[in-house]
Amino acid sequence: MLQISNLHFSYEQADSAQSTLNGIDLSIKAGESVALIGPNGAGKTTFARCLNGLLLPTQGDVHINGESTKDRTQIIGIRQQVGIVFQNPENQIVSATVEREIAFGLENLGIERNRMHAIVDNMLDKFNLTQYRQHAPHLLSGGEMQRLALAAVMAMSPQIVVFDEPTSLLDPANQQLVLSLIADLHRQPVKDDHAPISTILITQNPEEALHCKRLLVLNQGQILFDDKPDVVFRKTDELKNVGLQVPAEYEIADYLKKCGQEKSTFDPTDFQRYYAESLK
Amino acid sequence: MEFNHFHLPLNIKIENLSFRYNRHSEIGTAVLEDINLSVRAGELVAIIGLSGSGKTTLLQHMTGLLQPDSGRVLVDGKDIHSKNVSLSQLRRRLGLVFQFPETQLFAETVFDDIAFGPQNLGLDASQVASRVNAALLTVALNPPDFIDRSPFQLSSGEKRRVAIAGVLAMNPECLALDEPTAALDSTGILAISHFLKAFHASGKTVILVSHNIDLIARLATRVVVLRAGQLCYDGDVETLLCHQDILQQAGFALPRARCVVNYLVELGLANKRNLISVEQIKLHLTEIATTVSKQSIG
Repeated sequence: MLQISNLHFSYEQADSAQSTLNGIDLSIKAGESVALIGPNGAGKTTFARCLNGLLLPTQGDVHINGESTKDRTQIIGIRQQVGIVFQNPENQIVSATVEREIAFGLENLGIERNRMHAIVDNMLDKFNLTQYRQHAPHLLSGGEMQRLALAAVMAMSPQIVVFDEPTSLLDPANQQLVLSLIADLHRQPVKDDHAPISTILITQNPEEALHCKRLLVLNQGQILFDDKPDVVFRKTDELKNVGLQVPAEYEIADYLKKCGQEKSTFDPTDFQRYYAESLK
Repeated sequence: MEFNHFHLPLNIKIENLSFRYNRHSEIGTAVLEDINLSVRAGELVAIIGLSGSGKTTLLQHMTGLLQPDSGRVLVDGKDIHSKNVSLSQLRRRLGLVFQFPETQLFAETVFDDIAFGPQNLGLDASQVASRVNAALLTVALNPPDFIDRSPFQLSSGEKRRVAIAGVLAMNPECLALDEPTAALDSTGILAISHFLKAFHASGKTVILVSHNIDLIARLATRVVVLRAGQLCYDGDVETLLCHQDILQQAGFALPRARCVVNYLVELGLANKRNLISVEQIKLHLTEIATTVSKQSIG
């Protein structure tokens, strides 16, 4: 579905030594739930912008279902297939009312009117925004606005949704809400003509990465680790070296091990089960 | 790290404060209702609550940016909106760090940006330079590496710290910060946390609005919880963590480190529950290990 080969990107001229992305090779399959973490300045947002052709590789390629983002004739199709929900939804909301915001992308695709109305109604319902349909987006709360941004992206029925730090400006209750919305995308019944949706969650919060099946660690424009979150977070020292924290349970497990208690009964995955139980 | 003491640290007292935006129109809704709160000099008070609970509005009242509809804000016993109190004097003593202060960076170099405030105080060049240096060191940025750079080419964590340094260069006695760690990575959060700890340790007052429960648990001497414009908790962190209902009303879950402690206790690996940071847990585990080894030797 998503194929990235030898991706380099530099904001400066091509001959500049300072590039933001430094040779990324990666493929993401349909239905995958991927988290991406990395220190500030690692290139996370740049990476996101390369995925739908907002930025074009200075070297290497990004292919979405076989089409290169460099092929300008395919760009509309690529942008429909790869939706991005940005950190601050205010930056991506353009319309005067909530329902027009959801319709905006569909209008641009030339979707027939009745079908468009049906999609808009469906999205309003799904993201619990029906009561706000005539409201001005800027009067919504942060969590509601983030829901609207996602609804507008989902109206395009994308195959990949990239979330660029969607929770970093929200209060804890709304952070949970956004995470559950992402989880819901993976629970949707898959239509015959559609591949299951893939999500990429860019986050500063290592605990959020535990909600995903696969974790990428980006550092200085390169992929440092690519594995299950549980495997990656056990590399506590290596992550700390690049300025990343691990969830508390991994740090304690690592500490017990360093104190010579290799056979300790404390295990991060057991703790996570206990933690999930305690939240119920 | 050193902080100059030009004045005694200040005391803030809020009496029966109520406020609504658009109070002359029908749509005006109460944002703060009958708030009573006093912040004593040297405290590190965290204000928490869901979005829209009135945290930022309360902070803006403390610094005199907003005027209450009813009630008073007293600093060192004087109503800050009375005629004989100078708000500009107050703001010099009480530095306010807005949400995303980096959006206020404006100068061509980091030095010029931080120097802007002190220059306006009429300090001479060497005094300004030493203020800039001290402020940068306080936020853990090495001055020679940063003073000549453009603030716009720094990482987001560095920008945030430069913006805070601009407020620190005014030598405030009290710092009020609105979500200083929002959208920062763990290095950035750690740097802010260290700096707040040191600033507070030097006897200064800190008022901290944050959603980061781990940060609050580690730093705050006192927590104030706002819910829909009303104060629903005012006390120490430990008591709050023991009252899960209030914590949940404020929109928070227990800090993850505390849950790890509870689990360790259940496993019989720890015997203390009142720990709130990974560092404290490690210390406790070490204590237990030493006791056990002493016992086995004895």
